[in-house]
Amino acid sequence: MQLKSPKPYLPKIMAGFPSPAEDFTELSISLDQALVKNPPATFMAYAEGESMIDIGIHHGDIVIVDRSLTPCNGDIIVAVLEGGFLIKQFSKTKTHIRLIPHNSKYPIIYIKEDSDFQVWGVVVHSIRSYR
Amino acid sequence: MIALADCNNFYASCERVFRPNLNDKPVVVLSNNDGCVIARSNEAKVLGIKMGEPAFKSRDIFDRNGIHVFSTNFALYGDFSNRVMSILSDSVPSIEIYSIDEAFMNFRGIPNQEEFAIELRKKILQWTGIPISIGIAPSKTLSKVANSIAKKKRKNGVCILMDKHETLEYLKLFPVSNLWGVGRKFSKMLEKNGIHNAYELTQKSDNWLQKYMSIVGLKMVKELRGESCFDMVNGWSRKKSIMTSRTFGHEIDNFKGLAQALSTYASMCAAKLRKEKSCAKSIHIMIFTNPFKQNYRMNYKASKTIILDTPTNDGLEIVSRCIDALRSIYRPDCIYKRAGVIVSDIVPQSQVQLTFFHQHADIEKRHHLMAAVDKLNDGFGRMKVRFAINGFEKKWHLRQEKLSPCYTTRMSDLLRIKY
Repeated sequence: MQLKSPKPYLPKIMAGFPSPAEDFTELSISLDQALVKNPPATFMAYAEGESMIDIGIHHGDIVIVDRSLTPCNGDIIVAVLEGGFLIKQFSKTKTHIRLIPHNSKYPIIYIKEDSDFQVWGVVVHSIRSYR
Repeated sequence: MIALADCNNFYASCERVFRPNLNDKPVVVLSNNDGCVIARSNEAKVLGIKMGEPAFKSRDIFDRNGIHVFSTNFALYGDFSNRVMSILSDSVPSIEIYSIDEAFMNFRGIPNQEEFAIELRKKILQWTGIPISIGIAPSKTLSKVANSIAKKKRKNGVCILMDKHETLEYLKLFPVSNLWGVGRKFSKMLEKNGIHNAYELTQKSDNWLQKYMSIVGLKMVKELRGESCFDMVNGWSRKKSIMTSRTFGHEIDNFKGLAQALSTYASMCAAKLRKEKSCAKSIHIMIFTNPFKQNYRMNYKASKTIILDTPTNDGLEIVSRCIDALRSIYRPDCIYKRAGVIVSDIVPQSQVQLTFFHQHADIEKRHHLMAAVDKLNDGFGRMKVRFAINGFEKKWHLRQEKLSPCYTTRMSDLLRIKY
Protein backbone atom coordinates (compact mmCIF):
# COMPACT_ATOMS: atom_id res chain seq x y z
CA MET A 1 0.00 0.00 0.00
CA GLN A 2 1.29 3.45 -0.82
CA LEU A 3 1.30 6.19 1.73
CA LYS A 4 1.94 8.84 -0.92
CA SER A 5 -0.46 10.07 -3.58
CA PRO A 6 0.10 9.24 -7.23
CA LYS A 7 1.68 11.71 -9.62
CA PRO A 8 -0.20 12.94 -12.68
CA TYR A 9 0.73 11.16 -15.88
CA LEU A 10 2.50 13.71 -18.08
CA PRO A 11 4.00 12.34 -21.28
CA LYS A 12 7.17 14.14 -22.35
CA ILE A 13 6.75 15.67 -25.77
CA MET A 14 10.01 16.20 -27.53
CA ALA A 15 8.92 18.16 -30.63
CA GLY A 16 5.96 19.15 -32.71
CA PHE A 17 2.70 20.57 -31.43
CA PRO A 18 2.00 20.54 -27.73
CA SER A 19 -0.75 18.14 -26.71
CA PRO A 20 -4.15 19.86 -26.59
CA ALA A 21 -4.90 17.78 -23.49
CA GLU A 22 -1.99 19.21 -21.54
CA ASP A 23 -3.98 21.94 -19.81
CA PHE A 24 -6.65 19.48 -18.75
CA THR A 25 -4.49 16.86 -17.10
CA GLU A 26 -6.03 15.18 -14.09
CA LEU A 27 -4.69 12.54 -11.75
CA SER A 28 -5.11 9.00 -13.06
CA ILE A 29 -7.54 6.95 -11.05
CA SER A 30 -5.77 5.25 -8.18
CA LEU A 31 -7.26 2.05 -6.78
CA ASP A 32 -5.25 2.73 -3.64
CA GLN A 33 -7.06 6.00 -3.10
CA ALA A 34 -10.45 4.62 -4.03
CA LEU A 35 -10.25 1.59 -1.76
CA VAL A 36 -8.03 2.79 1.08
CA LYS A 37 -9.43 5.72 3.06
CA ASN A 38 -6.92 5.50 5.91
CA PRO A 39 -3.60 4.02 4.69
CA PRO A 40 -1.73 3.73 8.02
CA ALA A 41 -4.61 1.74 9.52
CA THR A 42 -5.39 -0.43 6.48
CA PHE A 43 -4.21 -4.00 5.96
CA MET A 44 -4.90 -6.68 3.37
CA ALA A 45 -5.42 -10.42 3.77
CA TYR A 46 -6.55 -13.43 1.79
CA ALA A 47 -9.85 -15.00 2.85
CA GLU A 48 -9.66 -18.77 2.87
CA GLY A 49 -12.78 -20.86 3.49
CA GLU A 50 -16.47 -20.96 2.69
CA SER A 51 -18.32 -19.64 5.71
CA MET A 52 -19.15 -16.29 4.07
CA ILE A 53 -20.03 -17.34 0.52
CA ASP A 54 -23.70 -16.27 0.78
CA ILE A 55 -22.62 -12.68 1.40
CA GLY A 56 -20.10 -12.87 -1.46
CA ILE A 57 -16.75 -13.52 0.15
CA HIS A 58 -15.20 -16.54 -1.53
CA HIS A 59 -12.11 -18.62 -1.03
CA GLY A 60 -9.07 -16.70 -2.30
CA ASP A 61 -10.63 -13.23 -2.22
CA ILE A 62 -8.56 -10.34 -0.93
CA VAL A 63 -10.14 -8.46 1.94
CA ILE A 64 -9.21 -4.88 2.76
CA VAL A 65 -9.37 -4.28 6.48
CA ASP A 66 -9.54 -0.88 8.19
CA ARG A 67 -8.50 -1.04 11.83
CA SER A 68 -9.46 2.56 12.58
CA LEU A 69 -13.20 1.88 12.29
CA THR A 70 -15.40 0.91 15.21
CA PRO A 71 -17.59 -2.04 14.21
CA CYS A 72 -21.33 -1.45 13.87
CA ASN A 73 -24.07 -4.05 13.71
CA GLY A 74 -23.96 -5.79 10.36
CA ASP A 75 -20.32 -4.95 9.57
CA ILE A 76 -18.09 -7.72 8.29
CA ILE A 77 -15.16 -7.93 10.65
CA VAL A 78 -11.85 -9.68 11.13
CA ALA A 79 -12.00 -11.02 14.67
CA VAL A 80 -9.49 -12.75 16.88
CA LEU A 81 -11.06 -15.51 18.95
CA GLU A 82 -8.85 -17.59 21.26
CA GLY A 83 -5.78 -16.50 19.28
CA GLY A 84 -7.13 -17.39 15.81
CA PHE A 85 -8.40 -15.13 13.00
CA LEU A 86 -11.99 -15.24 11.74
CA ILE A 87 -14.05 -13.33 9.17
CA LYS A 88 -17.69 -13.01 10.22
CA GLN A 89 -20.57 -10.58 10.43
CA PHE A 90 -20.66 -8.62 13.65
CA SER A 91 -23.85 -8.45 15.69
CA LYS A 92 -24.15 -6.86 19.09
CA THR A 93 -27.17 -6.71 21.37
CA LYS A 94 -27.44 -5.33 24.89
CA THR A 95 -26.51 -8.68 26.35
CA HIS A 96 -24.11 -10.33 23.98
CA ILE A 97 -21.98 -10.34 20.85
CA ARG A 98 -22.60 -12.84 18.01
CA LEU A 99 -20.41 -13.68 15.02
CA ILE A 100 -22.64 -14.66 12.14
CA PRO A 101 -21.49 -16.84 9.22
CA HIS A 102 -23.14 -16.62 5.82
CA ASN A 103 -23.32 -20.29 4.89
CA SER A 104 -26.00 -22.50 6.41
CA LYS A 105 -23.43 -25.23 7.07
CA TYR A 106 -21.73 -23.08 9.69
CA PRO A 107 -23.04 -22.27 13.19
CA ILE A 108 -23.40 -18.84 14.76
CA ILE A 109 -20.65 -18.15 17.30
CA TYR A 110 -21.75 -16.65 20.62
CA ILE A 111 -19.04 -14.71 22.41
CA LYS A 112 -18.99 -15.55 26.09
CA GLU A 113 -17.88 -13.05 28.68
CA ASP A 114 -14.76 -15.01 29.46
CA SER A 115 -13.81 -15.62 25.80
CA ASP A 116 -10.50 -14.27 24.56
CA PHE A 117 -12.13 -12.10 21.89
CA GLN A 118 -11.03 -8.99 20.05
CA VAL A 119 -12.12 -7.12 16.94
CA TRP A 120 -8.98 -6.90 14.76
CA GLY A 121 -10.48 -4.66 12.08
CA VAL A 122 -13.48 -3.93 9.87
CA VAL A 123 -13.60 -5.39 6.34
CA VAL A 124 -14.33 -2.47 3.98
CA HIS A 125 -13.88 -4.20 0.59
CA SER A 126 -13.37 -7.66 -0.81
CA ILE A 127 -11.75 -8.20 -4.16
CA ARG A 128 -12.17 -11.25 -6.36
CA SER A 129 -10.11 -12.00 -9.45
CA TYR A 130 -11.80 -13.77 -12.37
CA ARG A 131 -8.74 -14.67 -14.38
CA MET B 1 6.63 20.97 25.81
CA ILE B 2 8.31 18.13 23.96
CA ALA B 3 6.95 14.58 23.88
CA LEU B 4 8.81 11.42 23.02
CA ALA B 5 6.81 8.55 21.53
CA ASP B 6 8.61 5.24 21.75
CA CYS B 7 7.18 1.90 20.60
CA ASN B 8 7.22 -0.81 23.28
CA ASN B 9 9.45 -3.78 22.37
CA PHE B 10 8.93 -2.64 18.77
CA TYR B 11 10.17 -5.65 16.75
CA ALA B 12 8.45 -8.15 19.03
CA SER B 13 5.23 -6.09 18.87
CA CYS B 14 5.33 -6.05 15.03
CA GLU B 15 5.66 -9.84 14.96
CA ARG B 16 2.59 -10.13 17.18
CA VAL B 17 0.19 -8.06 15.07
CA PHE B 18 -0.34 -10.95 12.66
CA ARG B 19 0.15 -13.63 15.31
CA PRO B 20 -2.38 -12.69 18.00
CA ASN B 21 -1.93 -16.14 19.53
CA LEU B 22 1.45 -14.84 20.76
CA ASN B 23 -0.01 -12.06 22.91
CA ASP B 24 1.05 -12.76 26.52
CA LYS B 25 3.64 -15.28 25.26
CA PRO B 26 7.40 -14.69 25.35
CA VAL B 27 8.78 -13.52 21.99
CA VAL B 28 12.37 -12.69 21.00
CA VAL B 29 13.79 -11.33 17.75
CA LEU B 30 17.31 -12.22 16.63
CA SER B 31 19.79 -9.91 14.90
CA ASN B 32 20.84 -10.22 11.27
CA ASN B 33 22.12 -13.73 10.65
CA ASP B 34 20.27 -14.96 13.73
CA GLY B 35 23.31 -13.97 15.81
CA CYS B 36 21.95 -12.61 19.08
CA VAL B 37 18.82 -11.33 20.80
CA ILE B 38 17.93 -7.76 19.79
CA ALA B 39 14.32 -7.49 20.98
CA ARG B 40 12.29 -9.11 23.72
CA SER B 41 8.65 -9.03 24.71
CA ASN B 42 7.97 -8.26 28.38
CA GLU B 43 7.37 -11.97 29.04
CA ALA B 44 10.83 -12.80 27.65
CA LYS B 45 12.38 -10.09 29.84
CA VAL B 46 10.75 -11.64 32.90
CA LEU B 47 12.30 -15.00 31.97
CA GLY B 48 15.71 -13.35 32.22
CA ILE B 49 16.57 -13.25 28.51
CA LYS B 50 19.17 -10.50 28.07
CA MET B 51 19.73 -8.11 25.17
CA GLY B 52 22.65 -9.22 23.00
CA GLU B 53 22.62 -12.79 24.27
CA PRO B 54 24.12 -15.06 21.57
CA ALA B 55 21.37 -17.22 20.08
CA PHE B 56 23.42 -20.42 19.90
CA LYS B 57 23.95 -20.27 23.67
CA SER B 58 20.27 -19.70 24.38
CA ARG B 59 18.68 -22.41 22.20
CA ASP B 60 18.01 -24.58 25.28
CA ILE B 61 16.45 -21.75 27.28
CA PHE B 62 14.28 -20.83 24.29
CA ASP B 63 13.04 -24.40 23.93
CA ARG B 64 12.52 -25.08 27.61
CA ASN B 65 10.44 -21.92 28.16
CA GLY B 66 8.46 -22.09 24.94
CA ILE B 67 9.92 -18.79 23.74
CA HIS B 68 8.89 -17.87 20.19
CA VAL B 69 11.92 -16.91 18.16
CA PHE B 70 11.94 -14.73 15.02
CA SER B 71 14.65 -13.62 12.60
CA THR B 72 14.66 -9.89 11.91
CA ASN B 73 12.09 -8.92 9.28
CA PHE B 74 13.01 -5.33 8.51
CA ALA B 75 10.52 -5.12 5.64
CA LEU B 76 7.77 -5.67 8.20
CA TYR B 77 9.24 -3.40 10.90
CA GLY B 78 9.92 -0.64 8.36
CA ASP B 79 6.30 -0.72 7.18
CA PHE B 80 4.94 -0.54 10.74
CA SER B 81 7.36 2.27 11.52
CA ASN B 82 6.03 4.25 8.53
CA ARG B 83 2.46 3.70 9.71
CA VAL B 84 3.18 4.83 13.28
CA MET B 85 5.20 7.87 12.13
CA SER B 86 2.54 8.89 9.63
CA ILE B 87 -0.18 8.83 12.31
CA LEU B 88 2.03 10.80 14.72
CA SER B 89 2.87 13.44 12.15
CA ASP B 90 -0.81 13.88 11.24
CA SER B 91 -1.67 14.36 14.92
CA VAL B 92 0.81 17.00 16.15
CA PRO B 93 2.30 20.24 14.74
CA SER B 94 5.69 18.64 13.93
CA ILE B 95 7.70 15.51 14.63
CA GLU B 96 11.35 14.52 14.48
CA ILE B 97 11.80 10.85 13.62
CA TYR B 98 14.68 9.80 15.82
CA SER B 99 14.90 6.10 15.02
CA ILE B 100 12.79 3.29 13.57
CA ASP B 101 10.63 3.24 16.71
CA GLU B 102 11.05 6.66 18.33
CA ALA B 103 9.94 10.18 17.47
CA PHE B 104 10.04 13.52 19.26
CA MET B 105 6.83 15.51 18.94
CA ASN B 106 6.32 19.22 19.32
CA PHE B 107 3.44 19.56 21.77
CA ARG B 108 3.41 23.37 21.71
CA GLY B 109 -0.12 24.73 21.69
CA ILE B 110 -1.79 21.45 22.57
CA PRO B 111 -4.19 21.82 25.52
CA ASN B 112 -4.68 18.98 28.05
CA GLN B 113 -1.44 17.34 26.98
CA GLU B 114 -1.75 14.26 29.17
CA GLU B 115 -5.29 13.56 27.97
CA PHE B 116 -4.18 14.16 24.37
CA ALA B 117 -1.27 11.73 24.72
CA ILE B 118 -3.47 9.02 26.21
CA GLU B 119 -5.85 9.33 23.24
CA LEU B 120 -2.96 9.36 20.75
CA ARG B 121 -1.57 6.20 22.30
CA LYS B 122 -4.98 4.49 22.08
CA LYS B 123 -5.28 5.53 18.43
CA ILE B 124 -1.87 4.09 17.49
CA LEU B 125 -2.67 0.83 19.28
CA GLN B 126 -6.05 0.45 17.60
CA TRP B 127 -4.96 1.49 14.11
CA THR B 128 -1.67 -0.42 13.94
CA GLY B 129 -1.65 -2.88 16.84
CA ILE B 130 1.61 -1.37 18.13
CA PRO B 131 1.72 -0.29 21.80
CA ILE B 132 3.66 2.91 22.45
CA SER B 133 4.67 4.96 25.48
CA ILE B 134 4.73 8.74 25.57
CA GLY B 135 6.87 10.92 27.84
CA ILE B 136 6.12 14.65 27.98
CA ALA B 137 8.54 17.21 29.46
CA PRO B 138 10.07 20.67 28.88
CA SER B 139 13.20 19.22 27.15
CA LYS B 140 14.21 16.29 24.96
CA THR B 141 16.41 14.71 27.63
CA LEU B 142 13.61 14.92 30.22
CA SER B 143 11.10 13.53 27.73
CA LYS B 144 13.36 10.46 27.50
CA VAL B 145 13.27 10.15 31.29
CA ALA B 146 9.48 10.63 31.30
CA ASN B 147 9.12 7.98 28.61
CA SER B 148 11.05 5.47 30.64
CA ILE B 149 8.79 6.17 33.65
CA ALA B 150 5.72 5.81 31.41
CA LYS B 151 6.96 2.41 30.21
CA LYS B 152 7.71 1.01 33.63
CA LYS B 153 5.23 2.65 35.97
CA ARG B 154 2.20 3.96 34.12
CA LYS B 155 -0.67 1.70 33.14
CA ASN B 156 -1.94 4.25 30.61
CA GLY B 157 1.54 4.46 29.01
CA VAL B 158 1.86 8.23 29.46
CA CYS B 159 3.99 10.27 31.87
CA ILE B 160 4.15 14.05 32.02
CA LEU B 161 6.93 15.81 33.96
CA MET B 162 5.78 19.38 34.63
CA ASP B 163 6.31 19.99 38.30
CA LYS B 164 9.95 20.78 39.14
CA HIS B 165 9.94 19.10 42.56
CA GLU B 166 8.28 15.97 41.28
CA THR B 167 10.83 15.82 38.43
CA LEU B 168 13.74 16.03 40.87
CA GLU B 169 12.28 13.17 42.92
CA TYR B 170 12.16 11.01 39.80
CA LEU B 171 15.71 11.98 38.84
CA LYS B 172 16.89 10.71 42.24
CA LEU B 173 15.67 7.26 41.21
CA PHE B 174 17.13 7.44 37.70
CA PRO B 175 20.57 5.82 37.22
CA VAL B 176 23.02 8.01 35.25
CA SER B 177 23.86 5.06 32.99
CA ASN B 178 20.28 5.12 31.63
CA LEU B 179 20.45 8.80 30.65
CA TRP B 180 20.29 9.81 27.01
CA GLY B 181 23.79 10.04 25.55
CA VAL B 182 25.61 8.76 28.64
CA GLY B 183 27.56 5.78 27.36
CA ARG B 184 29.44 3.14 29.33
CA LYS B 185 32.58 5.29 29.43
CA PHE B 186 30.88 8.33 30.97
CA SER B 187 28.81 6.34 33.43
CA LYS B 188 31.98 4.65 34.75
CA MET B 189 33.65 8.03 35.17
CA LEU B 190 30.56 9.41 36.94
CA GLU B 191 30.29 6.42 39.27
CA LYS B 192 33.95 6.96 40.19
CA ASN B 193 33.10 10.55 41.11
CA GLY B 194 30.27 9.38 43.34
CA ILE B 195 27.49 10.34 40.92
CA HIS B 196 24.96 7.51 40.69
CA ASN B 197 21.66 9.07 39.81
CA ALA B 198 20.51 11.85 37.50
CA TYR B 199 19.69 14.19 40.39
CA GLU B 200 23.27 14.12 41.65
CA LEU B 201 24.43 15.04 38.16
CA THR B 202 22.18 18.11 38.05
CA GLN B 203 23.85 19.35 41.27
CA LYS B 204 27.32 19.55 39.63
CA SER B 205 28.64 22.95 38.56
CA ASP B 206 28.56 23.93 34.90
CA ASN B 207 32.36 24.23 34.89
CA TRP B 208 32.78 20.70 36.19
CA LEU B 209 30.32 19.32 33.67
CA GLN B 210 31.91 21.05 30.70
CA LYS B 211 35.38 19.94 31.81
CA TYR B 212 34.52 16.27 32.24
CA MET B 213 31.60 15.75 29.86
CA SER B 214 32.19 18.35 27.11
CA ILE B 215 29.72 21.00 25.99
CA VAL B 216 27.21 18.37 24.87
CA GLY B 217 27.22 16.82 28.34
CA LEU B 218 26.65 20.25 29.90
CA LYS B 219 23.69 20.87 27.57
CA MET B 220 22.25 17.48 28.49
CA VAL B 221 22.39 18.33 32.21
CA LYS B 222 20.84 21.75 31.56
CA GLU B 223 18.02 19.87 29.85
CA LEU B 224 17.64 17.69 32.95
CA ARG B 225 17.24 20.92 34.94
CA GLY B 226 14.32 21.79 32.67
CA GLU B 227 15.97 24.10 30.14
CA SER B 228 15.52 23.05 26.51
CA CYS B 229 18.90 23.03 24.70
CA PHE B 230 18.47 20.51 21.89
CA ASP B 231 16.19 21.84 19.16
CA MET B 232 13.64 19.78 17.29
CA VAL B 233 14.70 18.86 13.77
CA ASN B 234 11.86 18.62 11.29
CA GLY B 235 11.37 15.21 9.73
CA TRP B 236 14.29 12.80 9.89
CA SER B 237 17.34 13.71 11.93
CA ARG B 238 20.05 13.66 9.25
CA LYS B 239 22.45 10.86 10.00
CA LYS B 240 26.13 11.56 10.59
CA SER B 241 27.18 8.29 9.04
CA ILE B 242 25.53 5.30 7.40
CA MET B 243 26.84 1.80 7.89
CA THR B 244 25.95 -1.43 6.14
CA SER B 245 27.80 -4.38 7.56
CA ARG B 246 26.92 -8.06 7.72
CA THR B 247 28.26 -11.37 8.90
CA PHE B 248 28.05 -13.77 5.95
CA GLY B 249 25.78 -16.81 6.00
CA HIS B 250 28.74 -18.80 4.63
CA GLU B 251 32.38 -17.80 4.82
CA ILE B 252 34.09 -16.47 1.70
CA ASP B 253 37.57 -17.44 0.49
CA ASN B 254 37.87 -15.61 -2.84
CA PHE B 255 38.14 -12.05 -4.06
CA LYS B 256 35.11 -12.25 -6.33
CA GLY B 257 32.80 -13.32 -3.53
CA LEU B 258 34.09 -10.67 -1.18
CA ALA B 259 33.81 -8.00 -3.88
CA GLN B 260 30.17 -9.03 -4.49
CA ALA B 261 29.29 -8.69 -0.83
CA LEU B 262 31.16 -5.43 -0.33
CA SER B 263 29.79 -3.84 -3.50
CA THR B 264 26.27 -4.79 -2.44
CA TYR B 265 26.74 -3.06 0.92
CA ALA B 266 28.24 -0.07 -0.91
CA SER B 267 25.22 0.15 -3.24
CA MET B 268 22.90 -0.07 -0.23
CA CYS B 269 24.74 2.81 1.50
CA ALA B 270 24.53 4.86 -1.71
CA ALA B 271 20.80 4.18 -2.03
CA LYS B 272 20.26 5.26 1.59
CA LEU B 273 22.18 8.49 0.91
CA ARG B 274 20.01 9.19 -2.13
CA LYS B 275 16.85 8.51 -0.15
CA GLU B 276 17.93 11.14 2.40
CA LYS B 277 19.05 13.52 -0.36
CA SER B 278 22.53 13.50 1.14
CA CYS B 279 26.06 12.98 -0.15
CA ALA B 280 29.09 11.54 1.66
CA LYS B 281 32.69 12.65 1.45
CA SER B 282 34.34 9.66 3.18
CA ILE B 283 33.97 5.97 2.50
CA HIS B 284 35.34 3.40 4.89
CA ILE B 285 35.51 -0.32 4.12
CA MET B 286 36.23 -3.16 6.53
CA ILE B 287 36.84 -6.90 6.12
CA PHE B 288 37.18 -9.50 8.90
CA THR B 289 38.02 -13.17 9.28
CA ASN B 290 36.36 -15.21 12.03
CA PRO B 291 38.28 -14.47 15.27
CA PHE B 292 36.61 -17.34 17.14
CA LYS B 293 37.92 -20.08 14.89
CA GLN B 294 41.25 -21.38 16.09
CA ASN B 295 42.20 -23.51 13.14
CA TYR B 296 42.20 -20.58 10.79
CA ARG B 297 45.06 -20.14 8.45
CA MET B 298 45.14 -16.51 9.29
CA ASN B 299 43.32 -14.21 11.63
CA TYR B 300 43.08 -10.95 9.76
CA LYS B 301 41.12 -7.77 9.77
CA ALA B 302 41.69 -4.71 7.69
CA SER B 303 40.05 -1.46 6.77
CA LYS B 304 40.63 1.46 4.51
CA THR B 305 39.25 4.97 4.29
CA ILE B 306 38.77 6.82 1.03
CA ILE B 307 38.29 10.58 1.02
CA LEU B 308 36.52 11.84 -2.08
CA ASP B 309 37.22 15.17 -3.77
CA THR B 310 33.52 15.87 -3.99
CA PRO B 311 30.81 14.36 -1.77
CA THR B 312 28.68 11.91 -3.72
CA ASN B 313 25.74 9.53 -3.54
CA ASP B 314 26.44 7.96 -6.92
CA GLY B 315 26.32 4.19 -6.51
CA LEU B 316 28.70 3.61 -9.43
CA GLU B 317 31.36 5.83 -7.94
CA ILE B 318 31.01 4.55 -4.38
CA VAL B 319 31.11 0.91 -5.54
CA SER B 320 34.14 1.37 -7.76
CA ARG B 321 36.06 3.24 -5.04
CA CYS B 322 35.24 0.46 -2.57
CA ILE B 323 36.50 -2.24 -4.95
CA ASP B 324 39.73 -0.32 -5.55
CA ALA B 325 40.20 -0.07 -1.81
CA LEU B 326 39.38 -3.75 -1.34
CA ARG B 327 42.14 -4.69 -3.83
CA SER B 328 44.67 -2.91 -1.67
CA ILE B 329 43.76 -4.71 1.57
CA TYR B 330 42.61 -8.12 0.31
CA ARG B 331 44.72 -11.15 1.31
CA PRO B 332 44.12 -14.33 -0.67
CA ASP B 333 45.26 -16.62 2.15
CA CYS B 334 42.33 -15.77 4.45
CA ILE B 335 38.74 -16.89 4.84
CA TYR B 336 36.40 -13.98 5.46
CA LYS B 337 33.44 -13.89 7.79
CA ARG B 338 32.23 -10.30 7.74
CA ALA B 339 32.54 -7.08 5.75
CA GLY B 340 31.10 -3.61 5.94
CA VAL B 341 30.93 -0.18 4.37
CA ILE B 342 30.53 3.10 6.26
CA VAL B 343 29.89 6.38 4.49
CA SER B 344 30.41 9.53 6.55
CA ASP B 345 31.06 13.30 6.39
CA ILE B 346 27.51 13.57 5.16
CA VAL B 347 26.23 16.84 3.67
CA PRO B 348 22.92 17.74 2.06
CA GLN B 349 22.91 17.05 -1.68
CA SER B 350 22.01 20.68 -2.32
CA GLN B 351 25.21 21.91 -0.69
CA VAL B 352 27.64 19.87 -2.79
CA GLN B 353 30.15 22.05 -4.62
CA LEU B 354 31.57 20.58 -7.77
CA THR B 355 35.27 20.76 -8.51
CA PHE B 356 36.71 22.41 -11.57
CA PHE B 357 37.26 19.09 -13.35
CA HIS B 358 33.75 17.72 -13.08
CA GLN B 359 31.87 17.19 -16.30
CA HIS B 360 28.47 18.61 -15.46
CA ALA B 361 26.70 16.75 -18.23
CA ASP B 362 28.06 13.43 -16.97
CA ILE B 363 26.95 14.12 -13.44
CA GLU B 364 23.49 14.97 -14.67
CA LYS B 365 23.32 11.68 -16.59
CA ARG B 366 24.50 9.65 -13.61
CA HIS B 367 21.96 11.40 -11.48
CA HIS B 368 19.15 10.32 -13.81
CA LEU B 369 20.54 6.79 -13.96
CA MET B 370 20.58 6.44 -10.17
CA ALA B 371 17.09 7.93 -9.88
CA ALA B 372 15.85 5.34 -12.40
CA VAL B 373 17.56 2.51 -10.49
CA ASP B 374 15.95 3.68 -7.24
CA LYS B 375 12.53 3.90 -8.83
CA LEU B 376 12.77 0.39 -10.28
CA ASN B 377 13.98 -1.05 -7.00
CA ASP B 378 11.26 0.71 -5.03
CA GLY B 379 8.71 -0.89 -7.33
CA PHE B 380 10.12 -4.36 -7.82
CA GLY B 381 12.02 -5.01 -4.63
CA ARG B 382 15.40 -4.17 -3.17
CA MET B 383 18.47 -4.87 -5.33
CA LYS B 384 16.39 -6.11 -8.26
CA VAL B 385 18.36 -3.76 -10.51
CA ARG B 386 22.02 -4.02 -9.56
CA PHE B 387 25.56 -3.56 -10.77
CA ALA B 388 27.02 -6.65 -12.40
CA ILE B 389 29.67 -6.79 -9.71
CA ASN B 390 26.99 -7.26 -7.03
CA GLY B 391 26.53 -10.74 -8.48
CA PHE B 392 23.66 -13.15 -8.05
CA GLU B 393 25.27 -15.73 -5.78
CA LYS B 394 23.59 -15.85 -2.44
CA LYS B 395 26.33 -17.57 -0.48
CA TRP B 396 27.04 -14.61 1.72
CA HIS B 397 23.38 -13.77 2.23
CA LEU B 398 21.87 -13.67 5.68
CA ARG B 399 20.89 -16.68 7.61
CA GLN B 400 17.25 -16.11 8.55
CA GLU B 401 15.76 -19.37 9.64
CA LYS B 402 12.82 -18.00 11.57
CA LEU B 403 11.75 -15.25 9.20
CA SER B 404 8.08 -14.27 9.41
CA PRO B 405 6.15 -13.40 6.22
CA CYS B 406 6.38 -9.82 4.88
CA TYR B 407 2.66 -9.41 5.59
CA THR B 408 2.43 -5.78 4.55
CA THR B 409 4.90 -5.46 1.68
CA ARG B 410 4.49 -8.59 -0.50
CA MET B 411 1.24 -9.81 -2.05
CA SER B 412 2.41 -13.42 -1.79
CA ASP B 413 2.96 -12.99 1.95
CA LEU B 414 -0.45 -11.53 2.87
CA LEU B 415 -2.08 -12.89 5.98
CA ARG B 416 -4.31 -15.88 5.14
CA ILE B 417 -7.46 -15.98 7.27
CA LYS B 418 -8.92 -19.46 7.35
CA TYR B 419 -12.47 -18.80 8.43
